[in-house]
Amino acid sequence: MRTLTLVFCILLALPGWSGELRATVVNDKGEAVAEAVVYARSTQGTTAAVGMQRATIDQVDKEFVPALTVVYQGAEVSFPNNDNIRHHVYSFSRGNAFEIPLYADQAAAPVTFANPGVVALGCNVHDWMSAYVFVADTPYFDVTDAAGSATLTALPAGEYEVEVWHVSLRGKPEKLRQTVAIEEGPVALNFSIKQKRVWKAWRGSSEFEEGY
Amino acid sequence: MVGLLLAALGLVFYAVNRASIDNAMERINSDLDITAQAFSRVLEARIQNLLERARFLSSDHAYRQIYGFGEREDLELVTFNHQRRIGADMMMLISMDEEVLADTLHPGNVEMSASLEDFVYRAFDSDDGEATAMLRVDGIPYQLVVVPLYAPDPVAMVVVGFRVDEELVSELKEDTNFTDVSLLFGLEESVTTTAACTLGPALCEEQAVQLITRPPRIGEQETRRLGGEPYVTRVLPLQEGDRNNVAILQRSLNAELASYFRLRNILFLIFGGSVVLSVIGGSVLSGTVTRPVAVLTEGARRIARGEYDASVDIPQRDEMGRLANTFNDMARGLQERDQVRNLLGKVVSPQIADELLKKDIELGGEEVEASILFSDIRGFTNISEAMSPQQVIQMLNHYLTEMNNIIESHRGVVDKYIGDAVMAIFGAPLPDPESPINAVRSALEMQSAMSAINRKFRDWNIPEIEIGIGINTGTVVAGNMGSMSRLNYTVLGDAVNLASRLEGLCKLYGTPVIISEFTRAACPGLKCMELDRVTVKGKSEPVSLFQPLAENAADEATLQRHQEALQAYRDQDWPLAMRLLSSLQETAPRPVYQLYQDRINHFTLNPPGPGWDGVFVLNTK
Repeated sequence: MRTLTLVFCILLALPGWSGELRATVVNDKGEAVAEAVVYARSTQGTTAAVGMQRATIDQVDKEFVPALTVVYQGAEVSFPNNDNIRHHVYSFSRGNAFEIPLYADQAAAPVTFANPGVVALGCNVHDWMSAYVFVADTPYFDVTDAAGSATLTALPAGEYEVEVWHVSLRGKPEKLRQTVAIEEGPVALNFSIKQKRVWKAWRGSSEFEEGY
Repeated sequence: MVGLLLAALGLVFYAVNRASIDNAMERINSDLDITAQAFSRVLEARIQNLLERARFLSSDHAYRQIYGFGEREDLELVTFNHQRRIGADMMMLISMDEEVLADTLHPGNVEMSASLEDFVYRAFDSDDGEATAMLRVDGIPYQLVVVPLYAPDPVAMVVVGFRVDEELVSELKEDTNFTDVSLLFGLEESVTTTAACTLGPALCEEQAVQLITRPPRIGEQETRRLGGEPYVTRVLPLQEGDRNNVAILQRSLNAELASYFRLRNILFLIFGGSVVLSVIGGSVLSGTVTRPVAVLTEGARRIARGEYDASVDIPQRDEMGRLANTFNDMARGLQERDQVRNLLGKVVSPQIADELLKKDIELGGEEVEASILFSDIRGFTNISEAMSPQQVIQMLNHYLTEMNNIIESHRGVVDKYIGDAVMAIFGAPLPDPESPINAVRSALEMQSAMSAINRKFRDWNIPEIEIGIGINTGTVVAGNMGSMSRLNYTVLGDAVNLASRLEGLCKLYGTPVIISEFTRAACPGLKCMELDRVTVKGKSEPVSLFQPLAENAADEATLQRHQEALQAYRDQDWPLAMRLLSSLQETAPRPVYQLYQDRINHFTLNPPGPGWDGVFVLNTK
């Protein structure tokens, strides 16, 4: 999925074909933070044209796969159900709320995420199922790997506001914002974030986890 | 004895009581330890149950939906609804920004109260967004839980509260083997609330007052008194680490001891019964032993005071009765002895009576120096013939009483009366170095007393009498004489016989008193007139006779001429003797001078011959 996004990005960024941003995200203990979204927003409003985007979030063994999806705003995300049981996918996230009431095999219509923001996904049948769709207002983004590194490529030269979001981020991404000028060649940025506890519903009721 | 029994019973009772109470305490303490663990588990289980209910509620889809799309009003309505659904007493919805979104206790409230902050922050900082607490909200104690509202992310906190009330504690009581439970809130705050208490209103109130002055300490194992009864207590935190809100577990010691109390009542009955029995036994004993002993003691005291008529009356047929009889016999014996003693003092002189009673009476005697006095009424036989027996007795009694008194006043002892004669001893049984002079003084006083006695006799129309007295001093044998069944204390010996002879000579010489030369020698300074030198019948040794004189009886010149006359008589110078005697007869007439003139007349005709020693031989008694 990330690769796919990248391909789009690369294809769409042809005019300013130039810069690269290498970001590292650590927490306040200096540990690498994986699965953090690093995104760069041009301050000049020079955003490359972006075509139709599609993403798929599957439901396998009563879990969302993948757990984190980053899309450019306006993207369509489909929620196929590969489990042979009913799910009830929903989100009450402002601007991107949706609900796909109980369904099993038949493919539901994709959900369009028109507004930027974090969309928390849940399943009304399985409380522990949790996934996030990060709807970015810029096509330049990447997700950190296990080493906490993300690489944003094909950035047209110019000034960018770079922000980071993570499910455990304490505070708003704007607070981490760094402005950087992209010229020829790579630019390195380091982010140190404060993490909060991430609570999982029904964590304690492990005996039920295998049952439904 | 009853006291001893009581002491023994008391000791047994104390030991049993102590052991039972200690045992009950031990049992309660070990029970309370177990109960405390059970209590904690029960409480924990309740909290878990509450948490699960809250979780269930917070996962309610409609709740999420309304949270996602609804207005505040909607949130409040659904919160009220959900509170009722799980039967909670309060419910709140608090946003992650700590804004109160719904509050069933205070509709419209948006600010989280300070009392909830710590509790909610604890949830924020926890691994799962959950927390539980015992808290007072608006002063009312609640069991609170807080869980996140997942929509599907944690978007808010749902606080659910159950009142901590009597229902809760009575359930806890049932779950903990009926241990009484009190829940206290706010120990570390200014106001402590008794949230609930199973002891009943009165005791709960009393406890609340007590706790102000004597606050409970976590883990305490104390005995507190409530309603006058001891309760063993345990204080537990309501939640781990909570020092502010505690549970007090109470077990009544008396309830635990109930079976022992029944036993104790039986013991009391037994003890009481045995005390009553021993009191009865004691009074019977006192009736048969103590009282008789008291009676005997009183009797013995009277005996000691000399009241020999003391007899005791103990109408018992046991040892006491026999003892009383023996006592009475003893008292009678003593009384008789006392009577004998009194009688003896009359029959014999008191000194002899004492002597007799002092020692074991034995026959035989000892040689002592004593002076013996004999007195006799002259011509008593002739006198008495002319009198009636009553008069004789009257006369003798009066005379002898007077004589006796005089003799005793000079430390003499009347040995016996022989008809009209008196025999008295001086110097025995008690030694008296002045016995000779005492005897002489006694004799002179007896003679001078005769004028008064004769006056009395004239009044009684009884003939007047004269007495003669003889005294001798010498070694005598004094002691009890006679047979063992009948004996006299008396003195025997030649000295006694001589005294008797001297008394008999009074008539011959016409003198009232005659003493021997031995008595005279023992009375230095005594004025005497020599009467004669004689050999009495039955004796070979001559003895000189003297008449003791009162101090003013005769002048020296007369005595001198008397002595010259005697000397001339002994020198056989009859004319000189006759001349001197005649002269004396004229100036100081005495019968003895006639006696000597008669003798000289006889010797003139029948000279005694040269070598005559002047001793006159008496052939009569």
